[in-house]
Amino acid sequence: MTGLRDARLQKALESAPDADLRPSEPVRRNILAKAHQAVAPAPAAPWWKALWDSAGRRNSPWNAAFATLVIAGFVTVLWFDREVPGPRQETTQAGAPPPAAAPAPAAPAVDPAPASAPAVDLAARAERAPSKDALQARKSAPAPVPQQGGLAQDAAGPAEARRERRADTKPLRDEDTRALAKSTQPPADASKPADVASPSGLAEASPRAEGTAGARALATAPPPAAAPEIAAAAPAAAPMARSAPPAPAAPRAATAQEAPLPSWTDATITVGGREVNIERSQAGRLAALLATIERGPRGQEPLDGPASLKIELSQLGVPADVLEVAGAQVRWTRQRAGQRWSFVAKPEPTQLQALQDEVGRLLGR
Amino acid sequence: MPDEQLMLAYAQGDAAAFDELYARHEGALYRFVRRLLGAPMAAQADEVFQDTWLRIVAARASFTPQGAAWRTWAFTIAHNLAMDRLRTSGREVGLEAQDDGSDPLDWLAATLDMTHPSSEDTAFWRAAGKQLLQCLDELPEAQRAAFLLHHEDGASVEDLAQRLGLQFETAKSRLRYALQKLRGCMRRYLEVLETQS
Repeated sequence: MTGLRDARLQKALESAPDADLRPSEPVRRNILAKAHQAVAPAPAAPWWKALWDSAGRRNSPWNAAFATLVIAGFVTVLWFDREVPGPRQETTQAGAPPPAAAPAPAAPAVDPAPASAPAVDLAARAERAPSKDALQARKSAPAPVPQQGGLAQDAAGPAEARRERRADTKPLRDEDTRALAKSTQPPADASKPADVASPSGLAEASPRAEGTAGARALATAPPPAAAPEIAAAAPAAAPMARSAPPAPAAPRAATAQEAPLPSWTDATITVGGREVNIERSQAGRLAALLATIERGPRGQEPLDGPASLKIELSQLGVPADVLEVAGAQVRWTRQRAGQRWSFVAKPEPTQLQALQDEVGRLLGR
Repeated sequence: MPDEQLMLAYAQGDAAAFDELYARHEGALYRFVRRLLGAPMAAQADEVFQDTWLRIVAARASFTPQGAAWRTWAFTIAHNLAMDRLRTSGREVGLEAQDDGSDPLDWLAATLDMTHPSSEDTAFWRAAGKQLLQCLDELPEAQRAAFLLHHEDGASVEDLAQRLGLQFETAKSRLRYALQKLRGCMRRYLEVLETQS
């Protein structure tokens, strides 16, 4: 017997009545059965289960793959038939005065050749797409000569028109937006002769420099940057001049037609003897519709009849453009720095109908 | 074959090794569980005993012969399960103890002649064992466990301290207190033995 181990208690413990006790037979059988079952070889799995497991069903991320497909399909549906948005510059307030101008562009030396068909075609394409060569040529051109003040202001249009389009994009419907995008999408193959008359290039001209370089270039250039039909008629600018009271020079008439719609702040709508003045902020889709019509095909024929609708646009109180609708034709009359000229266009019937509907809506308010 | 080798063989799929292992330790392990639970909870001895073996079966892959001996490992599992059962059923012990008239030890008390016990008599030791079981029931659970592990499983004090997660001195004092109480409880039997010697 040690201090902590008592042999007498040990013997008593061994002799206790429960020394021979054993668990019940069911408990013993249950323990042995479960112990044997734990190490028993598993029955062979059926062939289809083995194949299923070998295919990696347990660990393959099928759920993730399915979710990826669902999300991809959802995004595709969301962007179906829509343009992918590209980088955008910061926009300015619609109707705000044009920003301070860059150095006045100057046209490179241009042959005063008559407007041959290929040249006209190139010019027409280049009307909407300035190239790097053109910009470079303008930068290296000699100092501009002041002439024809209204021209540069008109030519400042593309940048301004971009702002205008952005300002008007929000309330537009999708089809209008697509139509605008299509009509303003620049072609990729601009050429040097076309660059001379590129409105985008001219857009960099400042109001201060209006009618300088661009005007001089235009004075020496062939009928540039117009639609083929307009360019073809450019040598005979007299009919155009006849339709405009101030009768600008032929090159001016051709250039004026390419000048985009300026930003305007007020519109006076006259229809059926009723006259309503509307601010641009309340004009709804009118600005977008006018821009769409303004970019449509243009012609030289006179109006077929009296105007049924007249929209006078002004910029901060200064008269800018006048649109007259007569049947399927429209006539734009522009006024810049005391000079006036006009041209006739024949927009698509749907555009014209949309314009009349919008006017009706504005008048009915 | 040592217990550890049998366990390794069973872990590798030899069911016969488990049968032998079970046969070796069935009685001792069951007795340990039953004594640890005490008479009031004797009815739960089968369940705890079965849980002990099933735990051994489930942990067969984690058993390493480099650690404790298989017997120590198995007794530790039984001890933990029994103590858990005692903790969860502690309040039921007293009530069951008072009404427990079907204890298998009762027959012994009724048949033994306690007036003239003999140290050579097997009946004396059986009676002493019966008394000891009753004395164990009166011990606190921790001291009871320490005594049983030390006397029945043969654990040393160091081993006891490690298995119970105690300091050496704590385990030692716990064992000393258990012995002191048991000797007091078994005084009548111990005096007979002392007078005979």
